[in-house]
Amino acid sequence: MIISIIINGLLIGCIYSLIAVGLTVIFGVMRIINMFHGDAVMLGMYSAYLLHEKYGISPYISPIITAPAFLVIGLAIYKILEPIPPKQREMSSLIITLGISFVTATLAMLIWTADYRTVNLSYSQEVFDIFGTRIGYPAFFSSAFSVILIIAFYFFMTKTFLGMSIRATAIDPVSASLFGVNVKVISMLTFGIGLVLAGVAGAILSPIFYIYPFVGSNFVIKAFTIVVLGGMGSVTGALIGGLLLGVSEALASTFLEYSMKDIIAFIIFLSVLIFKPSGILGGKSRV
Amino acid sequence: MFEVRDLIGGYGKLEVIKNINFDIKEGEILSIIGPNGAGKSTLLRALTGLLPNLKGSIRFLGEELCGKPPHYYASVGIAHVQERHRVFGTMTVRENLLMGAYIKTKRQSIEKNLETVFELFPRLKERLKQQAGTLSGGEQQMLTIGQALMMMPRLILLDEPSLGLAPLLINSIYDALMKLNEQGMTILLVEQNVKKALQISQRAMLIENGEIVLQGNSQDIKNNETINKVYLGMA
Ligand SMILES: Nc1ncnc2c1ncn2[C@@H]1O[C@H](COP(=O)(O)OP(=O)(O)O)[C@@H](O)[C@H]1O
Ligand SMILES: [Mg+2]
Repeated sequence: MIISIIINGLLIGCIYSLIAVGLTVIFGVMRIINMFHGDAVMLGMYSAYLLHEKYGISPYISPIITAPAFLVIGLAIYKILEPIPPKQREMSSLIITLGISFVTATLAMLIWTADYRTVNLSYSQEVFDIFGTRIGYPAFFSSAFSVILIIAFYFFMTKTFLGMSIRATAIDPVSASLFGVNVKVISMLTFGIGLVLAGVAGAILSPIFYIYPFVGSNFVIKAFTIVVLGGMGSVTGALIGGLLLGVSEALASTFLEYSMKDIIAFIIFLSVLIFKPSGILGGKSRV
Repeated sequence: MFEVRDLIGGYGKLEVIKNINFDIKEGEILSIIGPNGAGKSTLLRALTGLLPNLKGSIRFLGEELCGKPPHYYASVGIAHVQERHRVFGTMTVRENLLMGAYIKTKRQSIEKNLETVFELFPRLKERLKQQAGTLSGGEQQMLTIGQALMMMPRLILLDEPSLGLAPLLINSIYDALMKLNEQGMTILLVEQNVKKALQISQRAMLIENGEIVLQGNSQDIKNNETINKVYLGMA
């Protein structure tokens, strides 16, 4: 029983991690607090839903088509935030992206209405057994794709020059520039990549979550909880934080009231900020 | 090869560098000495595009560089090793060295350049997988010089490589610099360790309050009376 709760928590946690990874990298490199992140997830969900409804494209495949759009959205929002002087970055970016977030969610409501939608796959109801735990195929695939993407992203960040330059810029932009890194271009790309990750996460989530215009706010809170949990700017921290949040939610919804599930993120968020503001991993390893 | 004319700059309204003029000749070590706060580090920052609103002229191999961004300076072959061995602390030693080879045209020669760095600083080879932040100060200094060598630069600007290091380590760093210079590397060396700087360099300049107050052969400067009194502590 407890094992199956933990397994289910870990499955969801992988997807949370994928959302948080983009957020934490954006913060690490640019000190931008991106409140729009959840809406990128929401747009990812809707685009996967629409492509599935209209053309029958699987939500696990459609991100290949929609990723460039998220890159462009990221570059556009970055252009809006770019003129903010570095010292005011955190506060100003929070307010501006919160505004963009609200406008986006409202537009989504006008276009797609407030109806809840679901992506129904042919295997939506099918399950299999691990350790006596019944796992739905969509949940399994969504988690597996998230893990693959996080691992791929990890290799990108550690094994490619572009990834290394993103990390170097997060640690020390001045030094990075002296090695030939164009810090402005790297910052812009990082924001784009962060939003692509959010959009892809949205598509991957779509078979297992309800889709509605304001669903983003739900995810942005979880993502921020994970980021403070794992340490601002840390990719490995985001991974561990996501898994922890997934498991905590699963435990809370079983042993406490089901409605506690969404409050647990808040509780963790506040506790970390009060007792260990640098994150559970010490917050030393940025990106 | 490197000509600086009428250079004026600083931080915001604070003018730190006041009308600096000098040349660096190909293959030489030119040292800059001067008291704490004289503007030596600020001058190096000016010479790699790190100061906004810089006035004057910086010509490198005939090209005007003043007003260009820092990454452009790297691309034309100028390496800047900053003060206090600033490494990327949470990246490994290997990753730090690879960052030195970030510019695309340098990436073909990574293996060869790594060998060059290890020949000069064998210790780095043993610590390749270690996080740079866990190295000792001396090892970090070696790493920053190694990073600069990965850039295959035409000119290296070095900011106080001896700062905070034990004498033995200072010697091994200086031996390395000497070797590099013998192989033809041009070096602009900022130092508070006046004795060391004058020993290794062919020419030297004294900076006080953002101005060059003395320049000439290192030998002559070593024999200069004020330098002797104030900076070398010999009566
Ligand atoms: N980042 C900075 N912002 C503002 N003032 C600075 C900064 N760095 C150095 N200064 C000032 O510029 C002057 C020269 O400093 P610096 O170039 O570091 O001297 P040096 O390297 O010769 O010790 C000092 O008065 C110092 O306080
Ligand atoms: Mg200095």
